Amino acid sequence: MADFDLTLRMIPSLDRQLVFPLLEFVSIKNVYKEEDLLKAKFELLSNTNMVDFTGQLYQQIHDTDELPAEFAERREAVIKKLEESEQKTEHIREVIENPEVASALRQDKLQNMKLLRENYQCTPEMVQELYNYGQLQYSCGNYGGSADMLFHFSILSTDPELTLSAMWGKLASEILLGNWEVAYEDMSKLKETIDKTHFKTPTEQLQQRTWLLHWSLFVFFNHPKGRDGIVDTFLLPQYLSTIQNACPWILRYLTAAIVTNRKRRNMIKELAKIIEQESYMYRDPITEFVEALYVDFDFDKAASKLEECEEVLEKDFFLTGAVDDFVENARYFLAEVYCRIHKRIDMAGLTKKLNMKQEEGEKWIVKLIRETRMDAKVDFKDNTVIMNPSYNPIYQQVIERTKALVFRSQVLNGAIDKRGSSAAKKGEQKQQKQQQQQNSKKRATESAPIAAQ
Amino acid sequence: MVDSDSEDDVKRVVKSAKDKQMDEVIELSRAILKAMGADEWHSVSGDFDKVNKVVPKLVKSLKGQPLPRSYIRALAGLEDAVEKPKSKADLKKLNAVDARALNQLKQRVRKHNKSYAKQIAEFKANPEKAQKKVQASQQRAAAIAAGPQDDDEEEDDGFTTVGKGGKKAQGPTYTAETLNKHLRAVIEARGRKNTDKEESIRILETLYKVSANAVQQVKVLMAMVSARFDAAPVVSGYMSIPAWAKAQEHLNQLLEVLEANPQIRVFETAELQDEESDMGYKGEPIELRGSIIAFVDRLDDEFTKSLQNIDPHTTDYVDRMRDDVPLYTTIVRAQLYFERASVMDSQCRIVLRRLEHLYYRTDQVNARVEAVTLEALPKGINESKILPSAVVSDMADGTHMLCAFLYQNAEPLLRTRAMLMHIFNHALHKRYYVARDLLLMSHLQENVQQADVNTQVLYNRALAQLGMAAFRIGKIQEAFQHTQELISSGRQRELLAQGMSQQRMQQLSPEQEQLEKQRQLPFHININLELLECVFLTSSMLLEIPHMASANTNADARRSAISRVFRRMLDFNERQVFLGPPENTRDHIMAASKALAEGDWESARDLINDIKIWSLLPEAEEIKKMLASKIQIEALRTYLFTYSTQFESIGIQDLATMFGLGSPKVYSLLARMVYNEELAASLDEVSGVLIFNPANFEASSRLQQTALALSSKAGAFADINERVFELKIGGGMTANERDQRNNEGGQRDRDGRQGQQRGGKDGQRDQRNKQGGGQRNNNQGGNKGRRQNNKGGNQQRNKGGRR
Repeated sequence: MADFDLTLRMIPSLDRQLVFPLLEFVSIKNVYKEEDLLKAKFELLSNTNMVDFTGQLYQQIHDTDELPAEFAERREAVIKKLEESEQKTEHIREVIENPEVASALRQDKLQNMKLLRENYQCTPEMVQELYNYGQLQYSCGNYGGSADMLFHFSILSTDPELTLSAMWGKLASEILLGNWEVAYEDMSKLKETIDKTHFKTPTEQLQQRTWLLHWSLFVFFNHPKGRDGIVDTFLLPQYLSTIQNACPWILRYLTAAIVTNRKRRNMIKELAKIIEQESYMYRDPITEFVEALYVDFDFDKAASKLEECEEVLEKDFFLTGAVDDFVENARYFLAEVYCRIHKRIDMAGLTKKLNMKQEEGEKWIVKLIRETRMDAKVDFKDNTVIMNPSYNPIYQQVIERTKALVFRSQVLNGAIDKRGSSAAKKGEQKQQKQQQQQNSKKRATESAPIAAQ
Repeated sequence: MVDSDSEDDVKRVVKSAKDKQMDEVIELSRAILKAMGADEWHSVSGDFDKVNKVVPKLVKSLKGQPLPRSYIRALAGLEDAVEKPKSKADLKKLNAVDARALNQLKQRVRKHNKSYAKQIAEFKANPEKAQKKVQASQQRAAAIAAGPQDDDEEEDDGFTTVGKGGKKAQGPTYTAETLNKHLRAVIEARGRKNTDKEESIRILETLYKVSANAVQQVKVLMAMVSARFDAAPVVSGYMSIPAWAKAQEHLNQLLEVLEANPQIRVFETAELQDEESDMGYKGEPIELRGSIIAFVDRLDDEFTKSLQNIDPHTTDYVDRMRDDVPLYTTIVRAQLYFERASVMDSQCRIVLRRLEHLYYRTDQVNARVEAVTLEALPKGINESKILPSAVVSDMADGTHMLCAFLYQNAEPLLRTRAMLMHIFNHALHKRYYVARDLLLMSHLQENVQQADVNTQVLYNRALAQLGMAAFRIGKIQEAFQHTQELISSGRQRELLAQGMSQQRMQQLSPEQEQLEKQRQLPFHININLELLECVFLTSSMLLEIPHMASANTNADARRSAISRVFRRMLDFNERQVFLGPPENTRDHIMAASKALAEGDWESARDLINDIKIWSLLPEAEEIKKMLASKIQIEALRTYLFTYSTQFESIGIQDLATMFGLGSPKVYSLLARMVYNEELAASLDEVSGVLIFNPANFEASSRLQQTALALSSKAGAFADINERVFELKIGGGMTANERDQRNNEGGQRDRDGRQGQQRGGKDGQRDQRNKQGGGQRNNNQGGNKGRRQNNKGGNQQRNKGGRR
């Protein structure tokens, strides 16, 4: 099933440490060779400062207990660096953690800096040191510390580029810590910043958005409100075009999110269009399911794709938890479309299409009819469902259209009278002139639509 | 003696005011002398008046330089003639008019010559020398800074034979030492009115032979190439072909020398070198001022010009086309030179030139051309970094690399052109999506109307090609959208720079016409207009016929036409009293449309397949098959729209056999129509029939339909009244609402007017996309429109989100 695995495509847009959970997951699901994965993990982490862990991986790969000397050296170096940074930042950390200072800080960053400099002898260099320390801690895997440092930094720093970078770092730290609530907030802030910032080149902005799309998956699929958030965010024009331009595979997650989210089911038509349009760029069973159902109206194909979906979703890091939800909702969509199109439905056929057992399927259908208050009845003798599509007789339509006319005209008439009498008192001549103009205008507009029709 | 002055003058085409006056004075002076000889004193007097009118002006423009010698001579001659006491007999010989003129002239000449007494005296004292000086100064007239040695030299040479020009006398002195001097003389003489161009080339050829080293060779060759371009006789609007070949030969020679001497760099902004050091040149790096790219540009332009002017249906044209590959080789060679000399600006321009020779051809042809070129290139030449020769076998990559180079390095205009050519090339190779994405991401639609005309033409060409690409992969909606703009303007010839429409000719001023002619593309690059129209009309048919049929049940569809051009043609066709069997492409499509409207898909298919022009498309058979299946589908849809009111139910199996489609396909089509509420019906799975809604056949009653229409009109009427009233109270339904309506009107107008070229087109298209998106849920066009909007929206925020 490696065909539909997105890990490789996603890696370029993720941070090293964010990739790690993905690789872990993939190794559990046995999508790739164990050995390759270990090497990949090693490569991944060898550039970070998580020396101990990298060492373990090395042992695993080479199947030895010995570690080359360089690991020890690097370990030493890292620890030394950490200590250095800690010392350097000691002063400023104390200052910031002081509740008095925290309450004195305002929105204006320049003002804050001034305050810190005058009252607590903090220099911009020290703030800069915070950033370095945060980065170092992140690199060592101490996410809690890095989140704190980078948070402080992004509040104090006046350099927009570094602030942005710090925000990314903070988001990554929170994601890795699993603080979804905080991460969700951070992500929204980051999104706002990206949209507001003026980047030098459009490419840069596209890049930032691409990253955000990928990183946000962690948050959206773990935060309770994420399912709504992902739909709303990804369907924003700027993110939609980012998906189309840079990373069409994100469509899988968007699709899954829309299918599993009943509140957003009116989005499905729009989604179908996007999927159809991008089908030359990206397709997998999940998008193909939607395509089969809403573009080709091929129910058999949709049913078989649904089966494939289960398998693919099982092996997807983000969606593995949503498999049942997805299947349930996909069935629901399938049944809905089916019922809208058909007048008489063979129950056996439908249950087969829904991948259900006969009895279970029947129950499910009856439940569906009851829940959605569809105008349908089950014919037990023929084992069919008969839909009663509501239709409007023409008499009814004419009546509906003309019903309100009298009332509306009366209201209008009344309004004109009222206005006419009150205005008459003020200035008769002026009024008359206007009236004439209005009348001629009115005549003109009245005749126009009739001619047009 | 006098004649030598004026003979050259006749050839001049462009003259400055000064030259004109000079010519006039000389001409008149000659006439005076001539008439004087013939004793025609009347005309002498007339000419004398005229010349005296011009002379003050000439004096002003000469700014202190001496007056032409012939004038002084005429004055001197006149003086002599009038002062000479005439015998009575002489006077008697003259007729009355001339005699009187002579008398008057006497007075006037005396008075006039007073102010020129000095010059006349000088002339009389030494007629020969005066003549020489005047001539020398004339030669110098256009020169910016003629060195003093020019004059000295002429005198040193013992130059006394007057009238044959100094050049002949210079003959024996050509050596490498004096090369610079001569070269400068030739360059200075360039463009002057009495320069003998053939002569300069001869001199340069001799100079080339005597040149001592590479630097001198390069210098001479550069002068030679420009001299060739100057000297080329212009025959019927283009440089004659032998002259062109000569120029190319010299250019190749120049490149050869430069290839052999990589230490010499030639570029426009180089410092001028001390000329005397040339002789001692030992091969150290040196920079020369000159512009090779300008030569290549000129050569290529002249080639295009000749192709524009040769009748494409003659063998001459084919013969001329043979020069394309050698020219291409020269371009590639020049590119290699620029890469080596790393002249960035020229590199970009040359790469664009190269691309211009490649983009309209298929990869197979290009690969062949590249292979020939590679062979023709001299051995041991440097390898191109922009386009390594290894890539050449796969020119899709090659084109991409050239374009990518320009995207990175070139200025915006060149980048735009490269992009358009890239799009064209992708489209030509059926890579529709790639081409379209490139077009959309470049945001060209938004600012192409600010570009120059040639770029706009290229844009239109790219669009047309894109439309055809979409058609070839069966994307009818897209094909329609891309081609629609061009065709519905009715001016596709002008928009694609492929000739001019007849009826427009009268409106153009000669200058405009001239410009238009210069813009024309050579025939072999042209997009076949008939094919383009055929693609457009076929797409229109497949979209419009079902749309028209759906108007039966759907009131909205009646109002808007998808393709006005197509509807107009169809209406016209239907009004014909007598219809013969279809002859041309358009007839075929019209006949097919009528068959399609009746659901007769077989004859529609046959008619479309009979169109001969499909054979121009590379995969004609596949396209016919694709069209046949599209026709089946659309015929089914049209049939259902048209006759739905007559049915209570239809068997799916019956429909399948009727339209030659498999029943799953019919099933899926029906499902889609039902789901999108195009049909008021539902499917019965058990018995396999489509059951129409009762409302459907109710709608067949005329009375009911009219009642429905009336009620909706009454509703609309009430709406309008309310709106008018609101306008009266609140100062109006909001201003933008009114604007919106105005705009809509404007758009509709523009659609019909065809005047707007590229300007408002995008707006129009967007508008149509939006409409399309609203009406046809399943169409691609709506999607694309939205996509465009999305991207547009994105752009607003970030000024273009290109990857």
